[in-house]
Amino acid sequence: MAAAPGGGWAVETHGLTKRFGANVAVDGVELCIPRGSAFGYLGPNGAGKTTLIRTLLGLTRADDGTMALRGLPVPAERRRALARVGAIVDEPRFHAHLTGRDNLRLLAAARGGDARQRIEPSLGRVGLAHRADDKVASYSMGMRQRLGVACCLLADPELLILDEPMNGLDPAGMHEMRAMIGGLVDEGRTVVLSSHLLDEVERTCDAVAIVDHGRIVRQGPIEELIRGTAGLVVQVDCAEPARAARLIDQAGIAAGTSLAGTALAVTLPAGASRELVADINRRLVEAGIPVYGLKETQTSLEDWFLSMTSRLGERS
Amino acid sequence: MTTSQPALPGPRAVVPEAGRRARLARVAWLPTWDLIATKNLEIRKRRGLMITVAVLIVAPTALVYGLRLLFHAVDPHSYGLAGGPDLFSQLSNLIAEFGFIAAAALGAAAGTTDLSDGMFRHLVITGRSRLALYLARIPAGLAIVFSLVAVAFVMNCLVTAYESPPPPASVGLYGVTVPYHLDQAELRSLLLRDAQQDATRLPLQLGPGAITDTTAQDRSAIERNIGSLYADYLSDEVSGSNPAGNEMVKIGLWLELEIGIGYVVGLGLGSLTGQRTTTTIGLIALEIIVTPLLARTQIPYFINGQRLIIGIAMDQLRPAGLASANVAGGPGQLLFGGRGALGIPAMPTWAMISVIVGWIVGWSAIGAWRMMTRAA
Repeated sequence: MAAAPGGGWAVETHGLTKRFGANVAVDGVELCIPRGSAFGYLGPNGAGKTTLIRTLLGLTRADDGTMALRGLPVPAERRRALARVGAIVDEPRFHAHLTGRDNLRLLAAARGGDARQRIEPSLGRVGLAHRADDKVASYSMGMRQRLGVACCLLADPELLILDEPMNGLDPAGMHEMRAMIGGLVDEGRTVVLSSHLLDEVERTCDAVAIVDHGRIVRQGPIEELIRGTAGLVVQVDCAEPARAARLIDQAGIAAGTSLAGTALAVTLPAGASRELVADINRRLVEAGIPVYGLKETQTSLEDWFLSMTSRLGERS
Repeated sequence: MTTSQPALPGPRAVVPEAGRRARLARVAWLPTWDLIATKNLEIRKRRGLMITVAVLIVAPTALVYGLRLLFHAVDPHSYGLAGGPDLFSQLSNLIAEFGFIAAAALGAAAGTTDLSDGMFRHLVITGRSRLALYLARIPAGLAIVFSLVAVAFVMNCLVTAYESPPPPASVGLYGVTVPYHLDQAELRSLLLRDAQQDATRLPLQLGPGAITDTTAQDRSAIERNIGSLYADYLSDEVSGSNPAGNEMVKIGLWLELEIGIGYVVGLGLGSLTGQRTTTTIGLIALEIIVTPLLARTQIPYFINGQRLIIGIAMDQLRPAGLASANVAGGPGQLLFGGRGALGIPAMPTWAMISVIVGWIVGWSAIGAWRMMTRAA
């Protein structure tokens, strides 16, 4: 087994900055992605996700900062660094007049080395072997996504960067893609997944970074981020939910309340103990509001993401 | 925003290399054979473009000779042999003209389609040097245009060699009968042998107030005009007989150079603009509008500027076998024995070579620079 060509991070950036005129698309990004992990990269539209990926891959030049892929500094050792990196950036597009196999031949020739021998296994792994000799013009969006993944596999990648890989896939295709990504991670490869499908990221990834206005605002393991930031959400089933919400807000004991119809959800502060749930129940009963039930629910990545981005929006 | 970041999971073991050896090319900017071959495949499989290029380069020659061979076979009394030196020259010039346009269109496609098809990004991500990606396009496309030009030109040569009337034994140079295949010294000796009689027929430039009363004066006038007389003799000789084998080789090489330049310029300009249609239209305009306009009119004080046009520099290199008769081109330049057919006074050989090399290297450098700096 060959030694890792550098430190323990698959991706490492310090102060990475990319400007387009006055607009700072990537603003001093500090990012460390552990090797062998599935890492989600999240952010609202225009947050700078794709620009960061493009900068990492050398598709556009950085204005400031340093970066390393697989422990190798980029752009100084770009070729060695990218030798085992596969990536899909934006939608995967190919020469439509060529077959899937010919497109892979073209990319294998550019990669050199053993890439040519990996064409057939890659096509088989993404389930395109039977359509490999059809022109890409006849491929569906989902098939192009799979061809994009096959193109990544030509590198025998240690690091895969997938930008919205679930786009255009039907539920079965998404399931296959999820399984494929899981399989790749199980083989010790690092997968960086940029996606708007937060549910998919939550199911697939170990850790995430959230980016907004070009800056990484939070990063870490999903479970810890959600627990550390938002804590539990308690669904309160009571007779007068509007009055109950006002009462809890006035008491200042919760991080927030939300009322949708008659459903009242109370978000507990980060690190709050379960005693607080009993306290809420006691206060409502003492105020003469009948309580029929209290149910703890875990905040989803989507809830957390929305709460983070809405907070950021309020501050900006 | 300041937030406490949870600890990231520690790094896991690196994925095994699975027998992979680091086989990175020693010279990273040189394209590999495999890269050239697959790029060639990519271009060849553009069916519409390939049909257009083949039609422009091969079809005129094939059509003209096909019809002439057919007519001659059906009715040999009314229709003469299919080939002939004039037709050879005309079709070769046609291959040069249409071939340049076809090659430029192919070059423009080769320089832009990776970008327009979204493949450029995939190629950059492979880590391959962008310069190598650019350089691979040059032989990949040249192999196609060179082959097509070779097919058309070989057809032209074969019909000319085997289906042409026999050449006359001599040239009628302004009424003076001169045998074929003389060099300038031999022509001079022949004309001086009967100088007084020849001087009455030849268009000698005598200078102001000059008269040719004596044989010595006639000899002197012939000596002074031998350069232009030899040029006229060559033109007559060329138009009257099939080019020799070595002359055909020169013409073939000149055609390949002309078409190769068209491809390289199209590739460079295409890479620069990223626009296939704009590039193609621009180069068609250069070939059929700008070059003829500048070549037919000598602009005072701008003659050296005119000579910077590739078509004019290449015209100076045009082999004698392709030069039209009785035009103002200079006689016998170096290399292909070229003589311009466009009427621009001859330029020094070094200048001609500099312009040609400048266009090839300059456009390649511009295209490569754009490819290396373009955001993918």
